[in-house]
Amino acid sequence: MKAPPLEQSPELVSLRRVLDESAAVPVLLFFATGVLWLLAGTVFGLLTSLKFDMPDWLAAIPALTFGRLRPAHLNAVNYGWASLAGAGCLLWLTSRLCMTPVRLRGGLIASVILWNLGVLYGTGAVLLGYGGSVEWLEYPLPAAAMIGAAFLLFAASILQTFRMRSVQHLYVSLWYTVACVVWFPFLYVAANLPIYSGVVHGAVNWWYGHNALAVWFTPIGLALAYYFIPKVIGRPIYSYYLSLLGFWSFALFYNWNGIHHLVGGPVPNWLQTISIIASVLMVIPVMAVAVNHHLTTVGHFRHLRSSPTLRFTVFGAMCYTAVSFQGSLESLRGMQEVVHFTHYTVGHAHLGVYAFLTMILFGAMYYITPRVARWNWPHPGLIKLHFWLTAGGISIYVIAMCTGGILQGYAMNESVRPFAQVIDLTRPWLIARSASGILITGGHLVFAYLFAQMLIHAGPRRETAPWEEAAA
Amino acid sequence: MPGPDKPDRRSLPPLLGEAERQDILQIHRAILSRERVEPQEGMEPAPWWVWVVSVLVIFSMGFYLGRYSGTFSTEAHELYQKAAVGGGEAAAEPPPDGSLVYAGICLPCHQAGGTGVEGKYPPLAGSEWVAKDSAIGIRILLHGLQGPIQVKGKTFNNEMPGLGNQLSDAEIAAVLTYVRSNFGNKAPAVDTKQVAAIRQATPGQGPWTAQALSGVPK
Ligand code: HEC
Repeated sequence: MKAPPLEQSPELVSLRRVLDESAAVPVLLFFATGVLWLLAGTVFGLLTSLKFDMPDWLAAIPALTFGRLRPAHLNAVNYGWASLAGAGCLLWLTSRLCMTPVRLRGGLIASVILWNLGVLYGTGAVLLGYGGSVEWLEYPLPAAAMIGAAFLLFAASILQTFRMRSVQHLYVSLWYTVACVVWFPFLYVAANLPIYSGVVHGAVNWWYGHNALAVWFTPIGLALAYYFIPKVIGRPIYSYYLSLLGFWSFALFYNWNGIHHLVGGPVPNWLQTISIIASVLMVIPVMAVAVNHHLTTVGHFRHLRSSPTLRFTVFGAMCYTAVSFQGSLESLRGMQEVVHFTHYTVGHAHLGVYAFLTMILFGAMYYITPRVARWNWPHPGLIKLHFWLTAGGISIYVIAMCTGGILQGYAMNESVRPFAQVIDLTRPWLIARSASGILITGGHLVFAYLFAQMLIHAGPRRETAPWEEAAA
Repeated sequence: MPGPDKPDRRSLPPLLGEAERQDILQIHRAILSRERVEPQEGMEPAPWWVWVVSVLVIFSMGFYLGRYSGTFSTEAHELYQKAAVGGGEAAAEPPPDGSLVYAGICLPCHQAGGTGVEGKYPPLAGSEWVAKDSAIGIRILLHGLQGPIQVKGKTFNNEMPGLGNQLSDAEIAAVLTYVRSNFGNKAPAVDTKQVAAIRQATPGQGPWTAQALSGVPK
């Protein structure tokens, strides 16, 4: 199939310039601080992983013990990296899709500062031993309050930009964007209220933990995939009806999923059953999105060679399908009996937040950064290196953790097997995980280097898109 | 006010000379020129099988709800208590599983396979104490054991806590039977009634010593 022509009339180019200039400063601030948290979070993660094989290493320093590094990793990559980079992408996207400059920019600067202070305070508190014990909500209340306030400022900007839109039709990416900036604040505030205890707190914990994915991270990833796949290829998204089915079934089912983390626990059975049902029903939105994206891309796969954006985005979108179907299966009682409390869950989580979301964020940033930094990516070869290090690394990660996790689960279910033996059994898989972590860390260093060069306009001055073809 | 032809100066780094500024604007324009149309919605119908699969999934989950709703009770384990509730009279307690008692209680000390730990915990595999009269094993489990003891030619001098308060007569019988017929041991099963009898006959008994056990009545 022949690629559709570029759209380069002077008026359009000028309009794009006005929009991108309005987005430039806040988006670059969100991106740059996000990349810093990516680096910090990566170091925490790698140390955590190495500790499985060298438990005594650094054990004398309390801040670097497993119980603190692990939550520091989780929170730094989620509230630091993925949230900040995601917010930057959504700002740019909203301005482009509403055909109007970004509004409330002063508020956005305040938002970046507050957000980063919140993550810094929270992560510092976790490392110093003041973190809470509720997974995903380890930050102390003041840190959570800062992040919440920063999010409201960000949401206000998105909604105001949306209100001032100069388009008639709302493209599907906008549905997800507007929905998530309205949903997430409710969720975050409700989960942080200091009013829960006991079993209810456990239920609220996982209601929140899974919904952070459902109403914040996944909508970011989907909004970006829905935008960049047709944008780079230059054809419409395949089917409006599939988009509708996908969005509304997503909105209806996903927020019931969390309690599947407590299957077999002391929570009423009907609650577990309902969340298992909702998890399986996620097959519907996921199928709709996957089919929609696939039928848009079909016949255009050669763009994967020419566009870093498309390559990262399609990788991420495929992993979304994979992680969601895996999640539907994983929620079933029979599967839980084996994989609950094993490394399998960790593999699943990384297939979601890394292979799906982070890869799509990379793809989007490869597209957006040149437009807001006004500089071309200086080293095309390093982008390829970044892709193969991260894609290869995360593939090894997920395969190792899921295989190791299943073996671990079966072994733990043999009641007379000594626990130490089960640990020995998982060892090779954990070493493979650390090796993949080293690859991923390398990829992040390459990306951070490239991004820093974009910020200060360093490196060779290039006239063209990073890889072969025009529309990157 | 920046417009289509007047770029927003504030968005450029402040210290640049005019030539560099122009250069940046030119690069930006080039970047913005290599774009395709903003995404739009196509109007193709969804493939028929998407609807079929959706309906099938919804129906099967309806059945799942009926099967596993556990009467929407607030009891956490309603689903798994069905049998007892439905059977009217409380179903007879199933006999305890000796291997589970072993895994839960004895394994940390006597290890999987009953190998014990050199110098600390004596082996149960091939132990003459296990093979002896069941009255001895029952006493050890009920009240514990301390002081020097010879097992398979090696001397141990440690303490085993009494488990009489923790385990029922049936559980003690089950785990002893398990130990006596596993790990290469081949001694006959232990009867719950014998455990109950010994428990009654030795109220207030403290930990045994190997010596005291040698003189135990059959
Ligand atoms: C806290 C550790 C511990 C636990 C738990 C424990 N034992 Fe022992 N057991 C010992 C020690 C120590 C001795 C030796 C005591 C001595 O040195 O006098 C011993 C001795 C014995 C002996 C006699 C010596 C031999 O090796 O044959 C038997 C039989 C025995 N234990 C059975 C059991 C059974 C069955 C269980 C589980 C129901 C159990 N023990 C739980 C620590 C333990």
